[in-house]
Amino acid sequence: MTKSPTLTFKSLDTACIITNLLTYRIFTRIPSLFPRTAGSAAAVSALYSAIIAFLIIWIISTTFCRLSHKNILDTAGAVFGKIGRKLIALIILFYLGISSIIALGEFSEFTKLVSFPTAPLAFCAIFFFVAATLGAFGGFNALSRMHRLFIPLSVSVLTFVVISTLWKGDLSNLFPILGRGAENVFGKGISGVIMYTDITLLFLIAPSQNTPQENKRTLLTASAFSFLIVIAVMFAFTVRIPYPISAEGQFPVYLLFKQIHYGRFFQRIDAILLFAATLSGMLYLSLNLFFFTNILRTDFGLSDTKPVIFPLALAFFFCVAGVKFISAQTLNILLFCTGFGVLAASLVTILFTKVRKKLTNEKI
Amino acid sequence: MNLRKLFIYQSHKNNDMEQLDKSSASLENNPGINSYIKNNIKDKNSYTYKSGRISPNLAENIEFIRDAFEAVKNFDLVIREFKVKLSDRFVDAFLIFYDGLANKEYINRDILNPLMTQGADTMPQGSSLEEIIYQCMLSQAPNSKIREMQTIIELVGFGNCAVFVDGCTCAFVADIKGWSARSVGKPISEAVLSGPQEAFCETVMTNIALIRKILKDPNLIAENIPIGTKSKTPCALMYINGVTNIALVREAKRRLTNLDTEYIFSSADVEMLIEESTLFPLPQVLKTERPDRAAAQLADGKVIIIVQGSPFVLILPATASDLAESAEDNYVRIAEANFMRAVRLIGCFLALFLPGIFISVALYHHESIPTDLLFAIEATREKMPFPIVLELVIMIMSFELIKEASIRVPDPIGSTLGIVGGLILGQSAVSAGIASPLLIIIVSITALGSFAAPSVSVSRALSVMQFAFIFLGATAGFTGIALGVFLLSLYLASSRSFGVPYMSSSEGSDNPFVVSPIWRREKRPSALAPQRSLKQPRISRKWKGDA
Repeated sequence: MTKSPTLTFKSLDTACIITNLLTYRIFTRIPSLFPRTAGSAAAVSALYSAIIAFLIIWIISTTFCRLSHKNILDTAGAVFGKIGRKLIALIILFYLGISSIIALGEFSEFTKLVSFPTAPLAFCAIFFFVAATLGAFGGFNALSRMHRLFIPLSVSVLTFVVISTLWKGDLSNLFPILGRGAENVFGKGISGVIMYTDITLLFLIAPSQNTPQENKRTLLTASAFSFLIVIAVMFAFTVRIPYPISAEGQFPVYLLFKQIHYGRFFQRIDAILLFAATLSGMLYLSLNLFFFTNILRTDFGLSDTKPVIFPLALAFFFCVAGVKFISAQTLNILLFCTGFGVLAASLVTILFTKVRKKLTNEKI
Repeated sequence: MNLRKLFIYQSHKNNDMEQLDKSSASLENNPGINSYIKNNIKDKNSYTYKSGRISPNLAENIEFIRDAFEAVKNFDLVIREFKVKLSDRFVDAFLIFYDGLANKEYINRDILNPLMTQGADTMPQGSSLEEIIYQCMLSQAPNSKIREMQTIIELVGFGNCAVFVDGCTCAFVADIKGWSARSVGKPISEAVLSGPQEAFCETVMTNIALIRKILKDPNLIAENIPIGTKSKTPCALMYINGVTNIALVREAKRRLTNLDTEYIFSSADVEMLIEESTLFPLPQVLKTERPDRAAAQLADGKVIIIVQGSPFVLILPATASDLAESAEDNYVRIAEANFMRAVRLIGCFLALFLPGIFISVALYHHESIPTDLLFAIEATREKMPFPIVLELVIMIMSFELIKEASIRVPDPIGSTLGIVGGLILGQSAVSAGIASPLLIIIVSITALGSFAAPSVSVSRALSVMQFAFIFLGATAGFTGIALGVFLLSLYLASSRSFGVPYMSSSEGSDNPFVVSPIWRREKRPSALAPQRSLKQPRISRKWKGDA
């Protein structure tokens, strides 16, 4: 039997993409986000939102992975028709755009803080802009292989941070166990789920993968692993940095990294963090840009994505480094709204699909 | 009937239509000889001119050959006229060969002697002259009857001897190549301490034999694909039938047969002509001078190309995993092999990144190194006149000069060059205050790292790419290096070698970081999609179960 020498989409690639989508925000905001709402119960709040996020992923993946290799937009099209499909595509586009602008800004700020305190933000943003543009040009297969290469490095760095800081932590920082109150931990804490909205990007590529069972197994295992990393970092951060200091820092992992002391030679190893964070950010931005242009192609009649990549990346760049016509607070509100919209739209699509399948016994 | 057929028809009114069709087909299928004859042969009424085939008229053939081979100008061309002795008569004949390319001893012993003196005592009844000469008189073993003049021109140019006999419409071509060729020697660029010490040579048939000797597989195919419209350089495309992916073989053949170039001089020419991207920094086709390595790659489902005149065999496709392999890996104990591979990979990492990282630390990330070390570096740099980037580039270029010069100089001067270049220049540069001692150490470690690379082509690629990382490090420190790593990986990840992704992950034995023991290498690399993926069962050491 003759086989053609083509690459099949490997589970490891998918797992690495999921891990990056769920953990890249550790480098910029997650560890300080939870203390702001939950106080000393940040780890509890992180665990709570991770469980909810995992449940959502499980609900979506259970039905989604059986949909005979259709992505979320195809499914939306089959359930809600053309208008429904376009509406969901538009929500995802908005989310991708806002998320890209925020990520570009945050990673540039992070680079500026660690490497170039006196340089303008545009200088730092330009590296991410170049990487995202060329990464999106490289295409999905190349990006998935790169995830396989770099995400283990990123995970190793985070694990190193956790191990290096945890043993010097103070467990009393975890108390009171419900921090700023149950309402804040479990009520407002639910907003933490939005931090994991990027996982829905994976539902745009599911048709490329192998069997539905393999998809589901990979998706759930990688998600569980990623949440474990987030909770571990959150736990280490909470026991090492006491509240309210933990709620103030701009780049919490950097703050955590500064706490590492392995003798005189290894006392300043921030560069490793910078390296891992930069690569993680570059990969995320490339993937975002790729999906953005891909949705424009599949749902808005764009014939070729390549001519759009550069102008789009330039637009994101100017949103970060040029005239700031949207404040950071507005961006965050927009991110919350669109993130919620994407999650809700995905859930509704999947639930409708399930109901329709049951009612009509139709194969979608 | 087209114009060409009509023209031939008018010239050959006496010939039958069958011959006419053959002649016409020969002309149409032989664009090489068409243009050649049009441009060079003066007697345009001759049979040979019109048909491209050998005439039964010997005078016409000899005239054609003299013109075709420029016999007046080529002093090494030998055209020897003689008479073939038959039992009842003598027949005119001539032979042609290049002095130096063909073996004259064989010509005298196996061609001229039997034809001129021995004759055939009894003729088989009803046999033609062609059959008598071919079956009863010529004793040279690789012997064939050729009727197309173009083929004869090519074969004579490749060391064969062609015999033309009056009345015969074919020439008897004897394969009696006798040029001076290097014998099988020791590998130079892939030397190993333990393991076979044979290397490929410049002769394609010898190289094929070296591989056949190892594999002993009747399914091993060696197809001849001549390359070069003028040189017709023989190239052997080798693969194992039933193992290698047919699509891969077809793709390799398609690229080789679609090369429109006049001359091919070595396998490097072929490599450049068939690879996907010329600007790609790393080799897209592996080169080896070791028959054992080529055989192992064939067994894994790859295709190899052997080019006449080149001791380096091309292995395709190449992936990033292949670049980490060394021939030595298979001949030492597993722990040792893994340790050596780790050292090699660290060496490659240092060769590529160390200068860039050094520049990054020195210019942007002072905080990344301990204060004492930072003071030491600053103290050594206090009196340096050049910026650190320029200092580093000067020292690396000096080293590259030494490396390049050491290849050119004769062996006895080599050690002197090492002393002058390495010791005196390095020491003097520090004493003169041009370079800091730390920088000399950095450049030395980088150089050692590049020498540890498994192949020369990888080593050179690393040496070139390190300048990009120096530039990026000097521009933006670790962020620049991260961007460089991202872009390099992106380029590698989006590239393919003969349809196989360059950074493909394989479930087979080609993990770039680990050398597995031979009993664990059950599968062929999955990225190649071989026809048979299993090389051996999961339990290959059956004796373990018996114990």
